[in-house]
Amino acid sequence: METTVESFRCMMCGEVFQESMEKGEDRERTCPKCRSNSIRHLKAPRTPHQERMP
Amino acid sequence: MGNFTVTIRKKARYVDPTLCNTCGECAKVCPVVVPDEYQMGLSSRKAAYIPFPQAVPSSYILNMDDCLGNNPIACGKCADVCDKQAIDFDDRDELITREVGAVIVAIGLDVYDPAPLDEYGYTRFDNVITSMEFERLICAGGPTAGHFVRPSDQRQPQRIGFIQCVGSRNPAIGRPYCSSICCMNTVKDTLLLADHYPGVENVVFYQDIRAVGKSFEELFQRSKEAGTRYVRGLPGEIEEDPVTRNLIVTVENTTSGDLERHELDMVVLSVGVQPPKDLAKISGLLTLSKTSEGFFLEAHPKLKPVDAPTRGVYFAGFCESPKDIKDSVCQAGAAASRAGALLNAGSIQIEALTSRIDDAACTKCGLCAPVCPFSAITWHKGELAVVTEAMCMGCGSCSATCQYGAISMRHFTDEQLLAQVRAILAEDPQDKVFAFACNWCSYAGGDMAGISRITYPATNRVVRTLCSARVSDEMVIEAFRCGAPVLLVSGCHYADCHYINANRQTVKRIHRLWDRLEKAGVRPERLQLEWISAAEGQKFARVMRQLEELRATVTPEEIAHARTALKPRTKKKAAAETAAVAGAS
Repeated sequence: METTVESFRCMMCGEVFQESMEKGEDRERTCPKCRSNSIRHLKAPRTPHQERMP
Repeated sequence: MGNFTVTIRKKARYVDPTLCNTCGECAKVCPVVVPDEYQMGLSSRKAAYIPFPQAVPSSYILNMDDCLGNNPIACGKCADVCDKQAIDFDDRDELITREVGAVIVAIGLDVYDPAPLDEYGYTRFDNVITSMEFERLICAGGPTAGHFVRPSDQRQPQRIGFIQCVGSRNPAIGRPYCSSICCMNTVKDTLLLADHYPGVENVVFYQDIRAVGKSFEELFQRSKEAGTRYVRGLPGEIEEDPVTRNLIVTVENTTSGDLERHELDMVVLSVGVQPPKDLAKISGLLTLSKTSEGFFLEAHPKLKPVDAPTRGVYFAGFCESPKDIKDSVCQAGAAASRAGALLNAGSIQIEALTSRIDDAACTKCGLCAPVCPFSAITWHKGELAVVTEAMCMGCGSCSATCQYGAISMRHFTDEQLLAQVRAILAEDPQDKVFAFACNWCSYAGGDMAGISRITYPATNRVVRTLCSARVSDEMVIEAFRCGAPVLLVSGCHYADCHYINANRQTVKRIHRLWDRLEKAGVRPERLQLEWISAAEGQKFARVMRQLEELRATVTPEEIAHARTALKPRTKKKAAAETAAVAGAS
């Protein structure tokens, strides 16, 4: 299973944290600071090559 | 529902059971020797063998994984000595197809492998065994004919330690649950030892003894009266005396607070149980969901404890949750009864909470089919989508996904839900916290907060949907256009989703909405997502307090901006987005 460390942002308290994420995982996430489930996965910015892709 | 086509693989035996008279000559001449799985590897078997003494039919089989080969025949000694000519190297697996009305899932359990718990030395010390290996050693049909000896020197042990909760109640190894059977199994084992070998010393290291059940406490007391010593505390380390091969167990007795060292002849690890490895495969075949612990999730923990969320499927035994033999038998009886009731019913009634497709509005895009957790929507490229209403459970995920309003949920239509949104936000929307709550968990969590008399701000207004996946982009956008300062979408926890995994669609939708809000210059934090179970009244109240604090930070300018910046989606734009999603998938 491919595992990467990804960044997440709590939409309730603004906490930004990193957690490991497995490809295709099925997992509930919780903010380590305020326990909210409003966790936004912060995707890496698209590269110029990706921007050109249709 | 109740219409399954089942394909069963009947594995080749390579021995004709109608001819085999179990003389055993084939096993005698078989040159292959492998560990006997039934005896937990404590003895060996041949490639020609009877899997276990009570096997039906009582005849030998050839295990082709172990045999030297049948194509071409590499050995063939078994066939040479078989007078009955029962050996058939040309035997092949047989696929049998059956039409069935109900399926009972009773796939059992796997036993935890204690090898990763290095502090117990299971892989290092011969005299550390598991409770399953203990069963084989003490059994009259076991490798030692019931003579309990320690593996290192075949000597009868005099001091035996049992360590409880090995692989159970341990969140650090991902097994936070109680296996429920180990305590009483150990109590039984200590009584067996006391009965077979008077004078033997038994020490049980435990964190709690859970003797719940008829006569279980009495059995526990009998074990103590028989001389078994119970030490509250789990050992931190086991060492071996290299000369005597005795085991030195170091444990903190949490009752006395003393650090104790016990020299024992043998240690039995009371291993826990875990979901069987094939559970994921069965889950996929029958579209079943799992709990966070990995067991199958029932349709309802109290009202439908043996029913799967997929109609016509029932559970029996350990695959649903850890339980002992008595409870497994009870559940099996209940499952058979439920299946019988289904099969004997001439017709069934289902809730009218199902999806309906408007053929005139359907654009044949097919996006609805993959989001249905129950595979109730059939779609082929270029054709209209079709809902099998008997399979539809009414989560509404398809309706929320359809960009063209072609799918409506009976009693939870877009019009009905949008009317509630508009009515709630018609007056003083800036003072309200708007929430969508799923019927089964979050809404019930709000009820729990109420009946528990937990106070929370009175500014919230809740709209009930059957599942959080029913909340469409349009409903969220409409709420912001109506002036909602903050909005909550709440549903069941991941493992508790009553529609298998429909709430995963909610997560995807909320992420898309966060992006959309951000692009429109609307603070995405104004849209919140929470998983609240029916028992989490405290959490419901906490979330409402947090949302109220968030609401107080939203300015009238922000509300006004959202009203104008978030436009209803045009059909043209919806079509373009649909095409993009279809292309990506």
